[in-house]
Amino acid sequence: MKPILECYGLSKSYGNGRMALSNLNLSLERGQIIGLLGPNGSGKTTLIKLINDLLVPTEGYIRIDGSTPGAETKKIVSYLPERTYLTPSWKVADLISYFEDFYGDFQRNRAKQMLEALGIELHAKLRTLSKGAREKVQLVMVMSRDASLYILDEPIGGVDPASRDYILNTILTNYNENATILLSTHLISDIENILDRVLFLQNGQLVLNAPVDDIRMEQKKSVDMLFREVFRC
Amino acid sequence: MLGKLMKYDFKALNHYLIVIHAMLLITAALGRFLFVGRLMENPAGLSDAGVAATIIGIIIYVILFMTAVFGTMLMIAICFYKNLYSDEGYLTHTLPVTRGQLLISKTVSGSVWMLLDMMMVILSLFILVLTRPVLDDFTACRDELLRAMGFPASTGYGKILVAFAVLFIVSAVGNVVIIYASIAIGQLFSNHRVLGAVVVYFVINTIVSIISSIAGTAYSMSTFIHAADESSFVMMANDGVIYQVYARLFLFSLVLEIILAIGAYTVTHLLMQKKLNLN
Repeated sequence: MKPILECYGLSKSYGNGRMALSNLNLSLERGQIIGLLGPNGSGKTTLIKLINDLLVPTEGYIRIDGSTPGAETKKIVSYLPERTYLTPSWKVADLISYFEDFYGDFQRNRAKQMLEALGIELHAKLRTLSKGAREKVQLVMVMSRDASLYILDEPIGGVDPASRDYILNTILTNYNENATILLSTHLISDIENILDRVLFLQNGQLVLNAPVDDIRMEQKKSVDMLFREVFRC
Repeated sequence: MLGKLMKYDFKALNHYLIVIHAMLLITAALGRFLFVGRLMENPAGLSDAGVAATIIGIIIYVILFMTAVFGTMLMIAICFYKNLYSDEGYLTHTLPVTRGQLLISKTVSGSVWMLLDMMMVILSLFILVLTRPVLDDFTACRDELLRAMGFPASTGYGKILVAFAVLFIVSAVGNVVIIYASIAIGQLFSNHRVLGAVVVYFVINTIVSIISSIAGTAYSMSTFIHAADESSFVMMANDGVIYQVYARLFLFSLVLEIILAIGAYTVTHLLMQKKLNLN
């Protein structure tokens, strides 16, 4: 089976002379939960946007299941951006229909169950929901797809610790063993128990790509501790 | 997928535009029955209060007229910007569709509404003023009016309708794609995206009107000068040849608009493909 994600000599410059990503080479196998970690401005969001075809690489290329990012790869990639992309005048039910219309792998019943568990009404207008509730709605939509690659940019940033547990649990229970989750966050200690592998990005370059077990066994450290050491200011 | 995209693009536009245009037509109908109709029957019989009410009625109609015309353009621009370049763009651009499909869907929905807007605005005018006397006057001066618009006298209504349909469709699509191109170019000014789009829109329109007026003047002058060699200017006008000049000018601006629309569409598509950079 082809790797789910490959990057070859991937570079991105926004035209200000600084390289947001520079010569990044990466290959991710299926069936893992991978933490994409790094300080602010290290290139995490740039990498995520490139994978989702929201930016065009300056040099190098990306392959998702063997294809360049585009309409075909978007069928198998489920993306949760950092931003709230919801149309405020829509109801939660409208959003479900929208996902169902466009994504063949969307599971309506799964979405409904999760929304019910989170106490979010289907006929509620999105503008009337709290910021946290809106983030939960987006995560539910993204995790209700049977995608091959989930890309979650700061999925637990804006929600309270109790909901955080539910969300992490949701992520764990809703992805099949062949799917891959690439997850970016600052809250490392909250998620490190679910991670199989971590990628550390610094100044647009990959400085670490290792299984979490190796870090624990060989370096006798938690990912959080290692992160604080590597990125000490 | 294109059908689904259009369904949602129309949904986004329909909401406000149906309300605005319904209000315009209702006001025109009320104006016709309350004011214009009475005025036609008995022009001298209006009291002071009646005059005041008529003036207020006219003002309301004009305001609604402007709201419909500018509101339609504004809504088309806002929907395009919000859906593709604001935070909503994170969802729109990660749907399993191509950029070309996104642009076609937006162009069709925008152009259809622009066309509907033109038709509704004209319909509202007809409702308001097309009374029996106006219609009689029109029939009496039909040939002259047609000539003034650049048609040969005694042109059939079918041909006139086709000519206007082509003109309306081209200008609706042209206007929409120029709005879209302005927004797409405006995105390149990363700190002033909206202002950039507005400036680009006015710059494009200014350049186009300069080009067409220069070309138009040059063309009509040369035609008249050539004509003056053979016969006099007055004779030419009397012979009814003048409509040909108008017709050619009309064709010229039509071709210019089509070229411009194709250019604007191509630029927008390229920028969406290569230069997308959401905040």
